[in-house]
Amino acid sequence: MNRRHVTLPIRVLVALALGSAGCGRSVAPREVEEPTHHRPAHHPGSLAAAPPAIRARAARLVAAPADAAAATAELRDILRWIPQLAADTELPRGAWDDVAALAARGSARLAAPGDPTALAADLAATADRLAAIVATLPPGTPAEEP
Amino acid sequence: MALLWGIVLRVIQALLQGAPFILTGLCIAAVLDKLLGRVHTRRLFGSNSLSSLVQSWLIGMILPGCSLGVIPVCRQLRASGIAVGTIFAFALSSPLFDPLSILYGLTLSKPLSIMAFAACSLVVVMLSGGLFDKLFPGTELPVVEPPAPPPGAKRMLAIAVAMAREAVSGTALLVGIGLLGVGILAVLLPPGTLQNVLGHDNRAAPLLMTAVALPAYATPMTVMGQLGSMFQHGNSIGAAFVLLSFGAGMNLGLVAWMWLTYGWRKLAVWLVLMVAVVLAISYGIERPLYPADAEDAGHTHAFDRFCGPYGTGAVPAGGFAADVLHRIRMETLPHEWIGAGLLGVLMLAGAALRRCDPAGRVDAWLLRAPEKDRGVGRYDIVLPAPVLALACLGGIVAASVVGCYAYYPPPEVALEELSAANVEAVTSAISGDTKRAADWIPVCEGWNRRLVVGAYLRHGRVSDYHRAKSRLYQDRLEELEHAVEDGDPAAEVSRHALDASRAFRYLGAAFRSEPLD
Repeated sequence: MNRRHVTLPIRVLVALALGSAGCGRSVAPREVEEPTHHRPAHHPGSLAAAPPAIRARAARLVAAPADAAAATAELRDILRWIPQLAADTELPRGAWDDVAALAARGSARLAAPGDPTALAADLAATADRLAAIVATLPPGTPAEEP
Repeated sequence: MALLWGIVLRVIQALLQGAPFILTGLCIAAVLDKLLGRVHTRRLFGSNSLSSLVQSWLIGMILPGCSLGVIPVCRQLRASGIAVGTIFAFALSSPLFDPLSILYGLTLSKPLSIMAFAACSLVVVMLSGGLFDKLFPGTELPVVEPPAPPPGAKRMLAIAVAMAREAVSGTALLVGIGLLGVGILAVLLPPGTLQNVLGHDNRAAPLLMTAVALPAYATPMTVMGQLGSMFQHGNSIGAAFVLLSFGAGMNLGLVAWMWLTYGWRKLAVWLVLMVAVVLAISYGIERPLYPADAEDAGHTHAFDRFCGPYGTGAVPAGGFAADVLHRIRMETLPHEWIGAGLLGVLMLAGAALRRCDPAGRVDAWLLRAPEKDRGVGRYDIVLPAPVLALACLGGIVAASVVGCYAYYPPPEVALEELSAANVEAVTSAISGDTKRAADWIPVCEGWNRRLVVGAYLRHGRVSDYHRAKSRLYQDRLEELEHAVEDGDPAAEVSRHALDASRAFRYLGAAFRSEPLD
């Protein structure tokens, strides 16, 4: 556990007690730590970029077994992000529901891996179906985060 | 100067947010006093038994309130001779939820967590209240029923007079102490102190939240918004429960009342019991209730309002006074202005009564039955006061439900408001007016939530599709907010503004053209 996290409650309690007694300011100014919405490197950035991202990691499951755990973790994230990425498009509700269902099925398939080759093939098929839906989007839909 | 103005701003914000609830609390206390009577009040809430704890918890959950608003009610319960554990059970549960906040909670991504929190609050009340009553048996007082006002207009007037007198009694002092807690936090916690320390991976987060939430004051709605933000940003679930229990359920004024009424020993035992039970539950639910799909944002803005608003040495453009006025004008909702206005009128009336009628002649007159019985019409039925009291309490609950429909308007109305706010936020950001953009982004965030809750209220369900559109817009607004606050280059701010604008377009299209359920 981060030591700062452990001591902060104690510092705040002490500060409250001292403050109530009129001992003035006793909490040190916070460290400069700019909060940002952290986006991992494997975030596809857009729905259009998701199918190739899935295919690439599905291929890694077979080609680099040593890297399978990392690839699986990234696939789990990407499949989880897909409904939100699809929300940032003009997909109508029916198509969005299809995308969300595809992502849910992909996540379920990933949770029960079995044979890596079969898993990679199933995920590639998911990516293909996703790409087919993406192809229906009108031109001008954001393809990639700048 | 920054510290002083920070206190002023936070205390005024808290007072305005709490005003409708304080008014409701005064009304409930007066109804219990003048209509229900002490004997019936004790029967309604029960006393000194496990079933009374459940009764009090249930009444607290149904009646709208906040931790400042329960103070006059607790004083009245005490006057009714009810045992300490039962009063504390009501005091803890009443500020946790109200119809507005429950609806808000049910439309969060994890409504199950909110239901679990409600169930956990019952466990807290049962365990700490039950143990307390075991440790301190016989805290009930003998009930002396004061004379009741006669039926008719005098009975209603007696309620108004009781409210006015209570508004300037010890209740006012205790409310002031409660608000002082907000001021103390504003002094001790510099801006943004709590942004990065309440993550799911920080095992001390519930402990830290306990230290902050005990002196803090927040309305049920504010806390529900904070819980939503915590779920969304992958913050500690245990800390979220502590926030609900202590941030909403307690404040320094309530603690002061307990101390003054029961002494430091009982107060200390109660606090230790409460903190132990709440913390045990918090650590127990951290893993089971943590949402599997939570995005750990690494920070949260949910607790910025517990911290000081101004950094040391920072002077807002136009000066502190202008900034405080501007913020209050931007943030205060109409029902809060109305609540504050009525509370002010009540306090003026109470002060006048206190000054001009210290002997209580008005109260004595209100208790006197009319000398001449003018007779009653065939349909002019004299209702027993307890029946009227229950009707009044039911009316308060009904009014709070009706209020939900006003606060969460139909989607088309919410979209109209949101559209106007979005234009303000986006155009301000693009034109480089970052201060104005920073003012309007929270307005957009508020209407975005009210849009979803309003749709849920009227259709019973909101599809995942619509929720995803709302969530996207919220994310884009937060990104824009960061860009504005961090002083990003103009091109970057504009890009985020256009992203937010596009997300709003998708949101509007979804709510206008796709079925909601």
